[in-house]
Amino acid sequence: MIPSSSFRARGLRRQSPAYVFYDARKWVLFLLAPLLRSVLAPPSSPQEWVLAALSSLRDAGLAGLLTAWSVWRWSRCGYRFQKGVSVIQGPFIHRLIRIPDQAAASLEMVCSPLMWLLRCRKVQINTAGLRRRADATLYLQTEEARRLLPRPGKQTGRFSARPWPVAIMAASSSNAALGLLSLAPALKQVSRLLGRELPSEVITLAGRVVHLGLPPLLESAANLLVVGWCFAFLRHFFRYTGFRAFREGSRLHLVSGLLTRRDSFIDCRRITGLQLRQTLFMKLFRLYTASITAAGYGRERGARPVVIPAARAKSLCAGLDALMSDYPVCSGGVRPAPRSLRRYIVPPLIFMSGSLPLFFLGTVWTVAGVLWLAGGLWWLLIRWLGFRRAAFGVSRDAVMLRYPRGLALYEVHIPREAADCLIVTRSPWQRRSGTCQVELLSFGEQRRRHRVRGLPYEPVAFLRDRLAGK
Amino acid sequence: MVVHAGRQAAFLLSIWITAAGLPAMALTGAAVVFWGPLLWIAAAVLAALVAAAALWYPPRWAAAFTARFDGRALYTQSGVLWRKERLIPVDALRTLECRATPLQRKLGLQSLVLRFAGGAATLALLDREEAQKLAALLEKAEPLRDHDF
Repeated sequence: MIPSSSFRARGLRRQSPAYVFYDARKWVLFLLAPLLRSVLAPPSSPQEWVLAALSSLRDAGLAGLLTAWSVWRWSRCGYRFQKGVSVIQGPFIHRLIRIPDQAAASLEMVCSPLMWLLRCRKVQINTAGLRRRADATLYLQTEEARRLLPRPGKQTGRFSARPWPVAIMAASSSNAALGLLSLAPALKQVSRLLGRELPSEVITLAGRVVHLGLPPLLESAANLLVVGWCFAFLRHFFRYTGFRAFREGSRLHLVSGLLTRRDSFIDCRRITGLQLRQTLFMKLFRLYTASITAAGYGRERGARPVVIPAARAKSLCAGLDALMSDYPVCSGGVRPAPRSLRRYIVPPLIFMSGSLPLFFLGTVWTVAGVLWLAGGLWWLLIRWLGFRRAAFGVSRDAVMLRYPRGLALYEVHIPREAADCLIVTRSPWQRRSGTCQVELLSFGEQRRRHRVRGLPYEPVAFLRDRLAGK
Repeated sequence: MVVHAGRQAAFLLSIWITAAGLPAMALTGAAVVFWGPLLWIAAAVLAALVAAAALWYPPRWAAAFTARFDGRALYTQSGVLWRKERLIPVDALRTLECRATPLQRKLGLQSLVLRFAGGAATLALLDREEAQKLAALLEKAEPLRDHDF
């Protein structure tokens, strides 16, 4: 351990001892090995008892050694606040991470229930670099973490998410369709259990209608999917319930999380994209999710940099006006030509036609065919709605694209100076019909492309020239 | 400034297509040993396709390629069947990279890679002098955002 005097001489401070727990928790699983051994293969003879005890000692010793390694790492790890943050870490390979004040693009402070008990916070500092993880992660005592936070500015706008839109958004998260389809076997099980106690006609009929005749083997797999969907729902629900966003000067302050509270501070000048997302489920309830593209924010895998988790058009507009009033948007644009409808609906139709052979095979395959067809219909509906909404526009300050991607509808507004490259592609048959596909490349942590199909070429060429400043 | 792809670019493209087609033909020929003489026909068809592609495609690709720079944005057109038009505002550019393989150097060609925050675009097989002139112009260019809409 570096002596405290040496630390102080270099102006360094130690991180919270909670660092050891979070670094070592992956090794704690080793401690489960003796327990699992005693449950799965209980020793029967004295010789086996001795062997089991020795093995358990070995596993516990290994966990202890690895925890000691984490303690050592903690002891070699220090930080300093001086015109930014400097972090020194690594017992063997010494690393010095220096993040100047002006380079920090966003800052996130996390407080889980355990951290609240331990009176510590996890602070992640991001810059505009291309790393997939935070540039610096610190576990600090609460008072120290608060020192790192920017001073609260004058609040000029705020948005608070209401619980029921958040619940709908959580229910329609990525595997919503799969989850809903798989709910059927669970209902069947419930109907079986209840059928013994209640007059069973109604439940049996409902079960018959809903369960689609899934065989027991698939039923178990489907139940697992339902459990997965429930976890996804709870994760999203707990993350976005109580979400609040504040505009403080040139900064956005986002507060989210029911159990684990996250405070994010984002420099508004670094926002290079605003995206509105709508799944089919959310469209039924006329809800939107607004997220942003900002250097250094939401770069972790699977993270969605949300500013408004779920809101109807009216409160979405009010929220965006309050939070990002100076952000440029483009309202109108070129719509796809009616003859381009086939470019939108042919892929799902081809996908759906793949289910036909399954219907011919019959028996269990019919069920798979029905599920396949339902998935295809879901996609077809999204593409059809996408066709009706698709657009491309260029205004004085921003570029706008509306398009369907995967199982969701998107609307993207990008400031003109952040539009890096516009690609207009025309296939031989598009040249005949006078249409084209527009693709826009811009900076984004997720490296996603925005693409609108089947637009008439002449108006697009005019907008392209407008974007070029002609 | 307007840049076109020249004859040398078409020639190099022919070499690339042939070089890619030869191993495929060789593999198909070798497969005859295992799957019978019918594959000779497949190998012959493949050879005809490669020859046709090597002769037909490159001159058309070179004729279709144009890059135009007007001081504010770079505008490129390329593609024989699928026509692709790209617009890159000059203020989006972060780095410029000139690349040349030994064969490209021998034929006086160079590729220009334009990198921006959202990705990269490659202008392949330009005449070396034209590529260097274009790179110099792009470096000197005034950013788009300073102009009026």
